[in-house]
Amino acid sequence: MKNRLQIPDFMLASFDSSHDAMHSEEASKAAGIKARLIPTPELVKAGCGLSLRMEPKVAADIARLLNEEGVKVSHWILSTTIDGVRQFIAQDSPLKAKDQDK
Amino acid sequence: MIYLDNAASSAIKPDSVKKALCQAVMRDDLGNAGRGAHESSLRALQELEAARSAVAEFFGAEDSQVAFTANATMSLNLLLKSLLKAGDHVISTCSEHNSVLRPLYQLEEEGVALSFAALKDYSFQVDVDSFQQLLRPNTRAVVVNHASNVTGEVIDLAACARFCRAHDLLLILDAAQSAGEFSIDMEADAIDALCFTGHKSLYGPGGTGGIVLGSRMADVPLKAVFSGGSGVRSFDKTHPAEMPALFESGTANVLGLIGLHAGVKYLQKMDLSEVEARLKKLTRRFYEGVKDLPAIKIYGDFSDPKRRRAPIVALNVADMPAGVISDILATDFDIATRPGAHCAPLMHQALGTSDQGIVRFSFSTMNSEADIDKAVAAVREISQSLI
Repeated sequence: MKNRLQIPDFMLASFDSSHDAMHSEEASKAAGIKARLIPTPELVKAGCGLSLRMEPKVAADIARLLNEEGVKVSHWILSTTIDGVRQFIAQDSPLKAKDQDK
Repeated sequence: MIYLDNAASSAIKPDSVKKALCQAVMRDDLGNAGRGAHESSLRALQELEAARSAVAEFFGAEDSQVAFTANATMSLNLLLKSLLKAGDHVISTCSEHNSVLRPLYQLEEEGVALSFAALKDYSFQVDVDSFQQLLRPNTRAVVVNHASNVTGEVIDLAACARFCRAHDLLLILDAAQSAGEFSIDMEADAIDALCFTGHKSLYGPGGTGGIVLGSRMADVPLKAVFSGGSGVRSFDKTHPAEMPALFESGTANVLGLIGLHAGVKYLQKMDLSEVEARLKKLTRRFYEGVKDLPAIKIYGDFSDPKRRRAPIVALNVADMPAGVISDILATDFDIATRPGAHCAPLMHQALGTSDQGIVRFSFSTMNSEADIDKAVAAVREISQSLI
């Protein structure tokens, strides 16, 4: 039986409004980048009730796309498992991180 | 999709409601109710008043004491802000939804004092006996939700009513999570004001709801919160103070109310005792299916199968965030549930679930036993992942 709780790490982008959240999913879909809306976890005490979930490897592409679209991301959060406990850890914008790499 | 988020909104409506709504949209004779005497205005008024009579009968109230609003939140805001003034004290509970809490907090800033009853020790029930300790000389009203939208626990309404009558307080009931699930009677249950929404267990469309006043409200002064078009006394500078116009400023949502009327008729035709029995059976089937699964924690008292409760089972899987579990249910099993805080912060503080949230399964008469069995199988599979 598949272990339903073996969830790989993922990145979340939270927004100040559901309108922005919807826009982010539509923009990602139109750009062919895999991402979907999920309820913002309770541990993430910020943003509206919806967050965009994506694989960490596409976070920078989505950050760039949303920046171009004028959609403001309120928080970037990495969801990972540490010592068997699911954690949500605030991150710098992948765009900023990428810029800093340069 | 298996839809088990009926406590948020009953997405699947009875065929009779769907038909009534479709037919209403196709009509060309629904004008502005109460804003003229031509045929279209009268037809709209006829539909509005037919819906009003049906809702009044449903709750055992006078037709004139039913005012339509957009939802329970609007009803509660209108009623509480119309009734309460600086210097008043209100008793409420930790079980309330933000639709009660936030208007009360707003009123607190204007000088209304608030007290909240906690849950009984080691229980999911509101401690109604503690109202006595919370009573003050200036206590004006008790505001309670009939059923918790988080756990489905039903408050001891008879005890609330006895307390209110003994101390000459107004009993205001938030019936958002109970109206349509079992019988409520304004007089028999000694309710002074009831706020409901149409889009949950009354099976109406979104954008419908209302305020129902009991006989003891006749002499209680209420002020208009919104004012504007009423269709009557146009040269007065103030909005009419009489029910239902007091709470019905602006054009009525006649199309929506036709749908609400059809929802109420559906429940009346089925008989509410049958509705309650059916919902109880579905809820109990789900509860029995998941209660002994590993790592499942249930929030609610199911010890007495006969006890009245809203058709909700609230649970968590070990310490996994509720949102993660709800997302697995949606994406892997195509089952709609509601995770998170459910707009009930005090309840989550009382249950110790502020950080984790809770996964809420909520049922309607449109669900089948097969839906329940699939949901149980999904929870079993998720819980076994922890072994």
